[in-house]
Amino acid sequence: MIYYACSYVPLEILLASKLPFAKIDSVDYTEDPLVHRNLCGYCKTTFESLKAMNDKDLFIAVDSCDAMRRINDLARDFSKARIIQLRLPWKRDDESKNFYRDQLANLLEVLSLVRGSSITLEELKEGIKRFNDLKDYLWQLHRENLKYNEIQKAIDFANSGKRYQPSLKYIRKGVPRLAVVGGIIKDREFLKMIEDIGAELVLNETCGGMRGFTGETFSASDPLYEIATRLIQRRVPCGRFVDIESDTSPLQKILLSQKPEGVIKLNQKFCDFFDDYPVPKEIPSISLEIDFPLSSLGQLSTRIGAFVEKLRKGIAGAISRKSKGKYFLGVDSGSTTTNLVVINDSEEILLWKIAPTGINGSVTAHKLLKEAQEEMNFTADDIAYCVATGYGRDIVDFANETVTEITCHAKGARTLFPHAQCIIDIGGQDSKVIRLDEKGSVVDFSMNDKCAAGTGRFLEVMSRVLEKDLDAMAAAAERARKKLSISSMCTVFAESEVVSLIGKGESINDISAGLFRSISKRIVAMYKRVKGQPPVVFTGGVARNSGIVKTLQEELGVKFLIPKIPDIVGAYGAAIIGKEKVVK
Amino acid sequence: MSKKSVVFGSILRKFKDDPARFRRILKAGMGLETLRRKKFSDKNRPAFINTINHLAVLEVFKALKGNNVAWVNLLAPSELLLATGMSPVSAEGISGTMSSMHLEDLPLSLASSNGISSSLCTFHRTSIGTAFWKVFPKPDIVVTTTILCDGNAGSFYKIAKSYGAPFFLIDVPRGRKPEYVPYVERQLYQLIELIEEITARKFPFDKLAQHLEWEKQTVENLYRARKLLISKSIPMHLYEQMNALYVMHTLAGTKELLTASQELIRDLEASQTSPDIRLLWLHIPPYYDNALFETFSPTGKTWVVTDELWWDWLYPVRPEDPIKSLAEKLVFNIEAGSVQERGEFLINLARELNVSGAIHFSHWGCRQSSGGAGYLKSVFSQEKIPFLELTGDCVDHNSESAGQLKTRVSAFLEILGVKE
Ligand code: SF4
Ligand code: SF4
Repeated sequence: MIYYACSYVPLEILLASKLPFAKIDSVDYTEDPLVHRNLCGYCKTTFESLKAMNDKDLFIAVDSCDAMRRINDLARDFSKARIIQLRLPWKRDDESKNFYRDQLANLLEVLSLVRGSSITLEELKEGIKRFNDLKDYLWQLHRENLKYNEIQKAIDFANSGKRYQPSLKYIRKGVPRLAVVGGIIKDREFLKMIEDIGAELVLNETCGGMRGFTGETFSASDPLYEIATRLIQRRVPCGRFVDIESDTSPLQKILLSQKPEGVIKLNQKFCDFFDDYPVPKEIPSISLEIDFPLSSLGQLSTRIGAFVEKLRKGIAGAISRKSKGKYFLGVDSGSTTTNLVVINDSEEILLWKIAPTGINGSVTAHKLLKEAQEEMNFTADDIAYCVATGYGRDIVDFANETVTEITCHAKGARTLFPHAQCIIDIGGQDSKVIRLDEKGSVVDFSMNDKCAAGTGRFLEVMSRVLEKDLDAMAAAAERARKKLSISSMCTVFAESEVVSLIGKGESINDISAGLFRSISKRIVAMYKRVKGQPPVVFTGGVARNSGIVKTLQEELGVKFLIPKIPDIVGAYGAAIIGKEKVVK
Repeated sequence: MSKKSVVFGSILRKFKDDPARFRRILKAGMGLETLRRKKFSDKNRPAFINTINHLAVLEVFKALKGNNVAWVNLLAPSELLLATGMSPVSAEGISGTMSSMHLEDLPLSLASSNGISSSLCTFHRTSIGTAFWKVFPKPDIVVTTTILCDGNAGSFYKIAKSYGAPFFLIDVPRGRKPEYVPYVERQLYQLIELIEEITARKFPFDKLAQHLEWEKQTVENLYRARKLLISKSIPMHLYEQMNALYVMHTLAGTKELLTASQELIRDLEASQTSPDIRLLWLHIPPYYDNALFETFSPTGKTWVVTDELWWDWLYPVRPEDPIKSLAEKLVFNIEAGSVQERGEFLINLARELNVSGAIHFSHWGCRQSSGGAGYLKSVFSQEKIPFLELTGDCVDHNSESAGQLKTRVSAFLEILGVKE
């Protein structure tokens, strides 16, 4: 079998050879000490497959990036497969095209050897034709608005030169149409997640999707030259090429013709560095960093969910009031605490509750609901509408609807402070910065990455190390004399750093102040990233800590607006969104 | 330099929001340092060391002053720029300068707020951030190659674009094959055309020939020095390894580097002291003041005697066939080859120089070097040469605590029989 991993492999030539071929298609790998952690997950899975190949197999290696280059090197010693190496130029001018043509000629020779007879000019032309048919067919499926999981299957088949007959399921009408561009993605779970948040994928442009099937190849007297021209100059270039963001880029044209309402730019870790995939200005887009294979779908779904909510421009359409209910509930099921707020028609908070989420978020939410009902003496019928938000919003089964915490925080904070332009929320395990426009809609937001740095958790750990509670830490920081710097932002490293500072005899006062500065740094970076500006509302449990408030205010040079109960702003926003649905 | 730089950095930091003022103060500081290293260098240190330390700071100082400056990566053919009177400065060196003052967090956060991924190498991220910050004046040209690494193209493109400066990328196919030479050669001619456009002058091929003549001699000298290194060594700080490797790359073909290479031979010949343990450093050492600077210092028992990147670029360039030989120099650079070739080259170097062990610094985000670290470890252990892989960050002093580096290195040295 012939295998390949990169979309710069010319399918035209593979089809011309009539040999069976397949794109490496696994997402599993075990950590191999040979493959460094600085390499992307896609390389790791490729290497895993390479190790499993036998001596009848041929691997077409393309050095599309340093990681692949090293994997290809290693394959020579650690895979039984024969390997042919294509050197990809990282420029797109005519010289580079000629260079790649020679590489293709080499491939042609090897494939001829493999099958025992040379691939003729006629066969090459036929290969081009078969490739074009396949490509047109895939784009046809896009035009027909088929469900994307069917299209994705067709793409996967096409990667082996085969045509897949999709079942005729179509995408839903009237929901936001999304496109993904950038780092490789093809996971079914990703497609499902997009559906679950109420949107439809209409284009996967990444190298796990249609990127390899772009650019025209015409029949010409020198087919190899023609194929090289498509690959180097006409197709959508990958992130290794520098001039990808020009206005004439083929990606722009494709996006304009597919008419997505929003574009998700996926930047794969250790691969896409510059976030400059060219999206036409008129189409809103969001940039997200991902791993391959995907981890933490939860965070991604919050981010994409918030983006979709933004696209829908608020939540559309009022619905009729359920029975005679007079209360609106907001439930924020976060990773540390679950908060519940009950409001009335005038958006007054009648009751609020906070409890640790614990291991079963659903039980906790039910418990809070029950307590609220008992305290205020109301039944399920008295609830007009309930909106759940937060990381665990989907497990709140008594909610009528779920909305992301981004939108809810924006709503809550803006209701409390009608002039707010920016919200900083530091929760137990994540933190976010949200920028609003004049009307209070979310324009941009940034969340911290899957780690405790810059969150309440960081402070908790440090407070344990210092054996002082958070208020005592704040008081200690007030007395600091020296500007100590805690350089590690990572909680684990910072912990050992603090231990060694204590060992060196540094004062707890100075260390506390250093810790507050360290967490602030992280938040400041996020604030800058979204281009935040005052007035800034500070929410989340951490906002009650005077130490962090003071330091962060100093670093940002702004004075915060802080709600009386900063923990429940998300839940309050959720309740208001519910109220606005019903009462218009 | 280390401790002083950090103090200077903390003063400079106060002016971070005023790039013009920041530049003035930095320029004054670096001007003084350049002068000090030239006129008042430590006469007890080897002449070679004093020279490279001076050249390293001079290069950045010139970039700070502006005027005929080219931002380049380590392997860009500086010879072509030097011939026209331009001063090349390595962007890695600029990042290193920021790092040595513990100021790299400022450009890093600027890069990150402009959407640059945190998984990009910090040399690149810091130089991009520094370019955005406009602390350095606009360069006249930005030139880079696709080796050593694939991050160059995009990073230098960003730098050039942020300044609105002309940009030239030399695509060097990986694989070290003779048939790649004409492709690279043609690109070098294109670069020459661009340089002619910028300088509005005919390209001075006679000057280039002179530079290549110097380079040829420098290379011969370094090979002689390599022979001497077998039994001798000169005491160096770890950061001086860094200065050496980056001056060697960006100033290849200068009279100054030729002088340095002569000094190196004399220093080695005259050297009386030798450490208990001699080590080889692979890839790049961390730039900022860290615990390893104490471990590997002239007064210690363990010396890093040389770095991998002193030797990758040595090529017998031909003044009579300048462009072709420069193209060959790029194509045949050992780092443009496979990990197997790199392994063989390093094993030879380690055996020849008789080192007790090697330390590979796998710099965060650097995929070309760390992508081969596991393999190198296995071939070094087959050869029974102790090998330590350190992971960390050469530029970002906030990234991993220096204490960790020290623990790992100390354990390695214990295995080699060094007692604290
Ligand atoms: S996903 Fe990116 S880093 Fe990984 S192999 Fe492809 S181009 Fe290289
Ligand atoms: S450290 Fe590695 S990735 Fe960074 S510039 Fe050097 S070679 Fe490139």
